[in-house]
Amino acid sequence: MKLSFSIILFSLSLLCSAEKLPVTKLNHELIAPFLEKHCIKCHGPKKQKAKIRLDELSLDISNNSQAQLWQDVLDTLNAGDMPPEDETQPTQKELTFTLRELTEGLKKAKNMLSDQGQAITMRRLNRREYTNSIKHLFGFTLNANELPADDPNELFDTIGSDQYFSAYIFDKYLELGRKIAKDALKWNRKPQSKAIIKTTDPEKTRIPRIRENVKKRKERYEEVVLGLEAGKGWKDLGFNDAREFYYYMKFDAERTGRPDRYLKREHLNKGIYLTGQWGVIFVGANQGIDPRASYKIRILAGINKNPPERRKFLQVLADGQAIAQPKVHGTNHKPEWIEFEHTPKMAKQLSLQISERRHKETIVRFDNYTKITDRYGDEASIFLDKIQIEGPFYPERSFFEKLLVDKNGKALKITEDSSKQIIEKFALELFRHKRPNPDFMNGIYNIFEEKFAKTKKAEEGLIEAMAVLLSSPSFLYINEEFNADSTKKPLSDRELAIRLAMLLWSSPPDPELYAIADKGTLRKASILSSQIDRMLDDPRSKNFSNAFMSQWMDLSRFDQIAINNKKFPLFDKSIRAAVKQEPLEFFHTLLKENLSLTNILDSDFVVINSGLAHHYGINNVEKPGFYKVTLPHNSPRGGLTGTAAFLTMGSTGENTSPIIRGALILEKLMHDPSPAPPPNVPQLSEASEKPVSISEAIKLHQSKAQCASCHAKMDPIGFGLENFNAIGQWREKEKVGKKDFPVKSIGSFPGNKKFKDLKEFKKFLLTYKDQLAQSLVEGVMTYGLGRKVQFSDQNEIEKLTQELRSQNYKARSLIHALVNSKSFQYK
Amino acid sequence: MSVYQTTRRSFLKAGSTLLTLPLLESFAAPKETLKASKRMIFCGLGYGFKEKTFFPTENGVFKKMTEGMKPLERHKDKITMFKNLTNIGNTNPHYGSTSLLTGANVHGTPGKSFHNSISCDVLAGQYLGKEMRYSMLPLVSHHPDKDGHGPGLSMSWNQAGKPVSGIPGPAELYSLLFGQIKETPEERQSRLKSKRSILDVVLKDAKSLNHKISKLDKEKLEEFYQSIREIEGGLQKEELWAKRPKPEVDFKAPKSDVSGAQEIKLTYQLICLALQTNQTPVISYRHPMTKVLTSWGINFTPHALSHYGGSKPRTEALDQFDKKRSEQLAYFIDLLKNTKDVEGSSLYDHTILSWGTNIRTSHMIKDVPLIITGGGAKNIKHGRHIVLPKEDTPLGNLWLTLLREVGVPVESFGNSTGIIPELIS
Repeated sequence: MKLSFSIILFSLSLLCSAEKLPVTKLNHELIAPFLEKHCIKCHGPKKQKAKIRLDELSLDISNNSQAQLWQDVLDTLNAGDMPPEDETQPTQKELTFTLRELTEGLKKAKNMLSDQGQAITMRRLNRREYTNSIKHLFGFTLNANELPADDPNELFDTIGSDQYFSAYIFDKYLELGRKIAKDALKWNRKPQSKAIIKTTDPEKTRIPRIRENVKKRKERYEEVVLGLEAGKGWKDLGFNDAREFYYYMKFDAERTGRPDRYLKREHLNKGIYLTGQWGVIFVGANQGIDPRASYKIRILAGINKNPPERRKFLQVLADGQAIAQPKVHGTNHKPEWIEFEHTPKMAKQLSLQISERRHKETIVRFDNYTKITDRYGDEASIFLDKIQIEGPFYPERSFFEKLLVDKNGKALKITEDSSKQIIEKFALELFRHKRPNPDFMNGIYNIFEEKFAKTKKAEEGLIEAMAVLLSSPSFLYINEEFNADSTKKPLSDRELAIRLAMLLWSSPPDPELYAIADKGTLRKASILSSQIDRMLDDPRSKNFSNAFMSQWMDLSRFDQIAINNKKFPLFDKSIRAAVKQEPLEFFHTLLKENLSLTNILDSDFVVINSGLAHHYGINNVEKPGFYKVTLPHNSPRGGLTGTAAFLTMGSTGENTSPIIRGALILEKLMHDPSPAPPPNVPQLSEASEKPVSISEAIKLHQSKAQCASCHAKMDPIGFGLENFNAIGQWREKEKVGKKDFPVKSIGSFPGNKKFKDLKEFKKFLLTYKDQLAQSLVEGVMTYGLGRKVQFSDQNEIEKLTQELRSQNYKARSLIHALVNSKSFQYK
Repeated sequence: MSVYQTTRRSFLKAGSTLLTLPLLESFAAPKETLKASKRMIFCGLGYGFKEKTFFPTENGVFKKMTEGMKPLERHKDKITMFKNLTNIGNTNPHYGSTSLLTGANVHGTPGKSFHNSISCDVLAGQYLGKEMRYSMLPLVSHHPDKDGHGPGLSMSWNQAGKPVSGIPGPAELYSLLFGQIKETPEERQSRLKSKRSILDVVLKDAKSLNHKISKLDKEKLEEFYQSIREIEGGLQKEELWAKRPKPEVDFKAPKSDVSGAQEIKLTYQLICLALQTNQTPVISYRHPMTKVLTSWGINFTPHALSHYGGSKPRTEALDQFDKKRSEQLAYFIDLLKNTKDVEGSSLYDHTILSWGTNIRTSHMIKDVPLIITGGGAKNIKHGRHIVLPKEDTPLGNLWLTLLREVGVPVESFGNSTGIIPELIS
């Protein structure tokens, strides 16, 4: 029996826990009569079946044991285990209300009781912060998967109490530290090279190859034909059996014509056509790189014939990752340049692979692809004239690079003496300007000496010393001093600078911010304010936008949706990447241009690239990359709920899921999260295993008390987005069986606010501005402080939300309000 | 609530050497061992199985295997399954492994957002593995894919309730078991010495942080200390074992990129080798999920597949998945049967294998799917589906029973209320 165990737990923890915690009150008028009617007979003063007594269980939850026992009551009711079958059963309405009250109450109680008061736990740099710290120090970008994995976190990857450390992780850091130090000494002493342009002309290698192929096939064919005329059989002609010969004559011989036709196309002295397997599917271009630098990539290309829009996109992969999906303009007669920038990760060279954008996963054969996309088939294709990689272009020199040159700008020689100086300065910067303990530093010097003595190479000693520094807690952990008497202590200016830089850049402070902190003026309102704006203007603030937005909206859900390839054959790797990026670009635009955060509810613009514009049916988005596009009048897009990312998250990958969409809107935008579905409630329709339509599922939800307590609120909201299909495209009709049925967006918001189309849905959604603000404030507070937000934070959250409202919900005021709050400036 | 006071000291000693991965030397060759020792294997499968077609219903001796367990037909006299066994501590329908071997309610400790307790594999390792190179080995996949398993670095948790890092994938496991290090004794001494001075130095830094930080920060820092101590313990053990060569086996080193079903197969093979060469008595293995599905051509994420109700493609895919998983277990039993142990016996005769998860099906976490096999517990008569008389019998009772069967002297485990008498009758 589940309950009996809890009783033991209950009595035990009563003995040991005497913490004073706030109280969550359950609704007495609702719960008490229910208990009286259905439970007390067996679990009250007279009988205590299974040693459980509920009449003495307080309805004011003030500790975890009580919460746990109520949770057990809830679980038992949810599972339908109680009351026993032979007793009077609660009515549907009664049960629904009771379950809702218990569910909501326990959710509140859990928030209140969870975690460790308001204290921030010292935290380890997550992958993003570690990578950016290395970039700040040495100027190159690590591959994140070289790092120990981040701990699974419920909310944000900055929460210290969710992190673990182990022997294995330490050894990983040490190993990685050696590699980084080695790379640093290799690259940071290299003089910067001049930018050059490397041009690849694909026709120079590819066309002769096709020509050779055609020639061989023709010769073979002539040989076979002549042989046949001379009366030879398949054996004499070199075939293995009659069937092989038959197929050769029927198919292979004829196919020679296709590469032949390819070779008759125009302009082959200038470029190639990216077509199916008889031509050139993709072309590559390689360039050795300097990992400190960025590169410009240029592609000269044009469109052949007049294919549909769909076929005008290139897919550019760098080392297997989709980095761009530019649209091609110009023609094969007059190709046009496409240009974009790329900063490679630590690698020997940059390997580009350029092809027409198409769905490799499902459409293996190019023929099938062209059959789906257009009638021109293989003939229409992209003409590719040239590929250029220009670079390296260097940003400002990294900290370590500056350290390795002498006063005259000459490379420092690595000797015993210079190594010690390097170690000392490096340690200070690595530890984010906290002076290392002298005893510790002596230890580091000893490590240097030991290795130096063993290898006779100062460089080897330096690498080892740096590796140990890179594995030391003063680097790996963000540590802030604390008052011994546990009272709140204001952060030092240096600590505040670090918190600020980690919040806005996921990176340590830069020299300017350190300098202000050293001067002791960072807390001056005007200076702090201008620093925040400077940091938000800096490109590094993209780290904040990406990390915050993706975690706040739970974008990791998107990766878990497998799109049904048969139903949506054109949802390829490129569009998938673009869809995922859109909400991040959108949020960053709000921040960059300091626009109202209520744009998240609805906006008259979107931030998309040309691939997404095609996905949405928006015209005139032609330039490479993401940018802000004003929406045409009456467009259904705008806001987070109009992004394919959000809509796909609220789908099964095949069909829409109004349930998930509703739950996401409630949680993220209306700040009213539903608790996770209770365990041990049988899944809808599980018993039947027959397919169930969404509308049937919704009906089932309403009919079962265990479900209705939340779904009655959640599902009708989600219906507001029914006119968007599972991959976020607009639809007026839906095929059910062989017939088309009209799709309507009819539903309601809580309080019986009914809507009958998307326009009305958006109108209601826009009334939740304050709730959205609160949701964002809680999110940014959790992210920035690195701890879960609690019941006791309610006052501060309310204050920040008001502040945000008074600033017309301007995106930057969210950051200003947080940074100026007491929570942020105190440990 | 428990129990191990008498042996706490010995644990702390063993516990510090729990998982010290790199470069550890070997153990006695199998022929030197006279008596076969008891072995335990715990496999965690993540999300559950299909309700209608996987679970047997009748009490007693298996007559016919269910559709989902059909591939186990040839082993039906060698397996035991239960009804009414529940992991009382688990409250989260997405955590298949987090507290499978601990029974703890990880969100139920006042003042802590997450707290686990020692797992039964780690506990068993402390007793059975004293004389062996590794007291136990926690295995995970090379692909960091926790879908269906829940928080944790493996299925194993140490005495303090902290997660134990898993050994990722067959390639790393192989190099741990059989990888030879070519170095002279002097070189080894010098390497160990250097590593020790590194540890000393980082500890100095940690100590300098210790003064002005909060209690919570100190707990975090304690994790760091603990990790360093574990490495130190490992170096000590390495020194002790340095003189004995690692066993040589006729088994090709696995490639590092092997994944999916193939990864599981290779891991099963290596588990048998690890046990046969007496390098460890206890192994836990958190199975990969996503890559396994794709390797079988199933295009659903594990979570999506667990919610199969109402969708024909998912239901069919889960049928296939359940069957394939049973097939793997059948293969594993074959392997254990065919691996020779001392005096003409097989590995199967001395091993207890537990295979399953604490999620029954979709969101159901009552009445968990667990299959027990192996002759390691002499008192267990396999070949039965045991319907326990009490609903929600704690899973801890099963672990307690098995621990006692292999000779671990524990009074209780986790939230156990006693042993399962029906199992050993």
